[in-house]
Amino acid sequence: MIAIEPITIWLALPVGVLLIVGGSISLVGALGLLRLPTFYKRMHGPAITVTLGSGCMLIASMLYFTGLQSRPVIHEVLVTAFVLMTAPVSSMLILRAAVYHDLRAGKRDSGVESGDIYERRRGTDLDRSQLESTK
Amino acid sequence: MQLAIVLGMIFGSMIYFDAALLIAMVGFVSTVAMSKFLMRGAIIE
Repeated sequence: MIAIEPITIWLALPVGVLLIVGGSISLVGALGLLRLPTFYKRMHGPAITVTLGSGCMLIASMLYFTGLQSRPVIHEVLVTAFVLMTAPVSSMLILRAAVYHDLRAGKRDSGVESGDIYERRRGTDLDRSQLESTK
Repeated sequence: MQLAIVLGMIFGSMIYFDAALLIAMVGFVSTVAMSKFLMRGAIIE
C-alpha cells in the first residue's frame, strides 16, 4: 500500500497544483510530438515537455521534500539548472542536423514534407523567376 | 525523468532524484552524440 506522507495543507496545495500543471504540459507536449505533421513542427513538443513540465515537477518535488524533512532541500536545483541549460542546446543540435540532412538530400523543393522554411524559400524563388521572365 | 521524480515523491526517497539526474545527463550526452554523428559522420574528430 502506497501512502504519501502527510504535509501541511499550505504546502500540499502548491505541490498538487504544480504536479497537475506539469502533467498537463507534458501531455500537451507528447500530443504535439505525436500529431504534428513535419519534423520541424515536431521539434517544439519535446522542448516544452522538457523545460516547462520538468520544471514544474522539480519545483513540486523541492517543495514536497522541504515540507517533509522540515529543512530547505535544494538538490532539485541541480537537475533544474542542468535541464534548463541543456534543452535549447540539444534542440539546436537536432535542428541543425535535420537541416543539414534535408539540404544534402536535395529536399528543397519537396513541399510540405520538408517543412515551411523551404516551401517559403521556393515561393520567393518562383516569384523572382516570374518577375525576371516578365521583364 | 519526470516519472523518476514523481516516484521519488510517492515513496519519499531521495534515490530517485539521483536516477532523474542520471537520466537527464545521459539523454543530453546521447543527443549531442547522435547530432554530431548525423552532421559530421564522426562523433570524436
